[in-house]
Amino acid sequence: MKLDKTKIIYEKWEQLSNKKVKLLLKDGSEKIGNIESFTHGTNSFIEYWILNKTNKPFNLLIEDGEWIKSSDLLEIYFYEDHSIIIL
Amino acid sequence: METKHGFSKKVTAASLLVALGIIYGDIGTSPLYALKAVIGNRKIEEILVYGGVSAIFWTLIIQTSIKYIWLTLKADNNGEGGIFSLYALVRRYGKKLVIPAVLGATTLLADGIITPPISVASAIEGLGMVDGLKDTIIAGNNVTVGLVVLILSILFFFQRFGTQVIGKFFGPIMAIWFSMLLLVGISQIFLHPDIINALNPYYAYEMLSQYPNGFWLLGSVFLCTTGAEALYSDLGHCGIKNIRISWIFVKTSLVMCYLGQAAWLMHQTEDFLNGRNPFFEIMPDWFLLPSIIIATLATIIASQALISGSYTLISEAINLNFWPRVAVRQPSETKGQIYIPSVNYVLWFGCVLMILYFRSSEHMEAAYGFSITITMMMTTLLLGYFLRYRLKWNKFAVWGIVGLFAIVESSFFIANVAKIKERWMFLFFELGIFMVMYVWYEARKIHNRYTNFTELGKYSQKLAELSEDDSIPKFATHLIYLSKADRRHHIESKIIKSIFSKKPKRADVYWFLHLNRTNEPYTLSYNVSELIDDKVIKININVGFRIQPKTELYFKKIVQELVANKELNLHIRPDGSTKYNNEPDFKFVVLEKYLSVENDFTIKDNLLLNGYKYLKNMGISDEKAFGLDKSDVITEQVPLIYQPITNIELKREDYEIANK
Repeated sequence: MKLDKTKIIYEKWEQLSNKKVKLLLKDGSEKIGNIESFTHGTNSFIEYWILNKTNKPFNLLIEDGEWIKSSDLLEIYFYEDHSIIIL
Repeated sequence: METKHGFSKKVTAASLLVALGIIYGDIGTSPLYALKAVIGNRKIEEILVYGGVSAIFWTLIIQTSIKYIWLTLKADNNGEGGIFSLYALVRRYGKKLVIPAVLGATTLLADGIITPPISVASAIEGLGMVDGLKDTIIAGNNVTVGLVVLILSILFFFQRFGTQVIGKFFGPIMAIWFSMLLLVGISQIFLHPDIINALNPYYAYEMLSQYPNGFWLLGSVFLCTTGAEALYSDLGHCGIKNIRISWIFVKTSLVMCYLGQAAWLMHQTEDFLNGRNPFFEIMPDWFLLPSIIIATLATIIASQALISGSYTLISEAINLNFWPRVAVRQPSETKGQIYIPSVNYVLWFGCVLMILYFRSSEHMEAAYGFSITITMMMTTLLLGYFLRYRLKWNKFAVWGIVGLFAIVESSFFIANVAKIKERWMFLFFELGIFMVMYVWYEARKIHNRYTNFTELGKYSQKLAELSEDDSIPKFATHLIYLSKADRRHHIESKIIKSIFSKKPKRADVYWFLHLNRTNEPYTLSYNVSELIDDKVIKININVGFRIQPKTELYFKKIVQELVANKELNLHIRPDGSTKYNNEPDFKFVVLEKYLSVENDFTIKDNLLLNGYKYLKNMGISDEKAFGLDKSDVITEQVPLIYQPITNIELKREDYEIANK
């Protein structure tokens, strides 16, 4: 069965207390922010990551974050433990 | 040991009788029309009669005995069978397996509307042979059609009361039916014993290869096995052993009856059938009327099995998210028996339409069977996955088996394609069922893709603070949300918004209830996670795909257990009414999503989501579907935003400049 890397990212993200990440996208752009929520998909465990520019301790405008498709990700850097997952 | 339907799985005389009544109605009534359809208006000659009965015998061996009785019954999903149960067993091995499952179920339902009229019409038309009724009962005339419509209408009308009482007679009636087939068949074989030679497969080969257009006769031969798929669907009622053992008797009776009909064809003197039905021709004169009565009862039982099977199929489709939620009722105390009014009306309308359109069983024979070949091919495909991945059979053996049945069933399919011109109206019906399943399934996938989850832990402290904030009026003692989040720490963002935005909903205890539909048919279990003691509790209830969820009932039972185990304190009512009524106050919140204008999606997604909305409006409400209709329920409309429009550049203008 094909390895679902979005699940690996998710399991890593779930364990972290600091959700700040740096995302490198396939179009070469970089995004920095906090992943606060996500959506599940059918082709991959996580379809979208929702990235907020700032870390709000209590956020009610969850949709306000930027929706980033898992398939657009090239790599993800976690600030808490300086680890990188390459997709 | 009992099946989930309350029948015995042990092999006893009674359980075998039950199997006869439930499982074999469809396949058991095929002798009424299968050989007659093979002969049709053709000249009665040895190559056709021997070849026809030989092809029927080998079809029963390959398609029914080997494929269904031996192989497919192995695909037993905790005692349950049927294409959706099989799909539930293998779906983790391929995302595209949803297509054969939906296609198979669609075609099974579609051909289902022709089984009752063809069976009942075949039996009633036999009355035309009874002295005194010859001029009254003529296949296709208004009296015959009216009688069939009347019988079918009565059958469908009584569905709402269940089969608890009359069901007890199904087994004995079918035992009489099969005994009749056996004895009458044998009596004819004695008149032309050479017919036994027709069991040699060479005769089938000869007919298919040498008889003019012989291959196309497979379309009629196939009618002898149309009930094989139904046999698998009803697995849960009787258990494998009962089915396999009773099949020995059933098959012997069927083969003897077909051989008896063939023997009669060989020793009778006319060149053509001229409207005669070999099935009734082999009956002794004195037994003709009783045989027609028994045949009519058998066809009613066959129709009943098909109707019950359709309810089960739709109920499974609802629970597997292939069908909009519609009212599902339990008509009697019999375990597992359900009645779906909307399906009943559609089936009744379809069956009546069929008999009014085709008018006689002969015309229906020309249209029947095409869809079932598709169902069987889809079952073969799913079965291949089951044998390979669940039973871990050698891949070459699996390829060999799937290949063999692919050849056999493709041949039947091609031979049945000729029937399309007779059954073009079915295509609309099939397309309709398929589109409902497709739109519902795909739209739900889109919904799920944009359902935003967040960490419950992040908000649990805020929930605790809100709960204890006396400055805010209490909304409920126990506030319960239905959640799609299957993980302990997750929750939909919409639920958090519902609690905190506008007027915050203060409650003593916040419950988040997740119903997890399992791949097993009858699972019913739960687990509890208390994120904050007595304040924020997540419950995961595992419900099998054959169970109608009764959320309120499950929830109250869980609460009772938690209180009994001293894991939970029941809090007082917010309005101080506890002294008058010590039952805790539970308030359920159901979030009903609507499409927000803030969307930007493709034409396809747009069509799917609008179709979904339309279908949803035709079904029952969420609170009824979750069994909350007796509870204190608040339904909140929440916008569902797909593909939110981002990067809005909203510039603030200087007031003075703007007013210059």
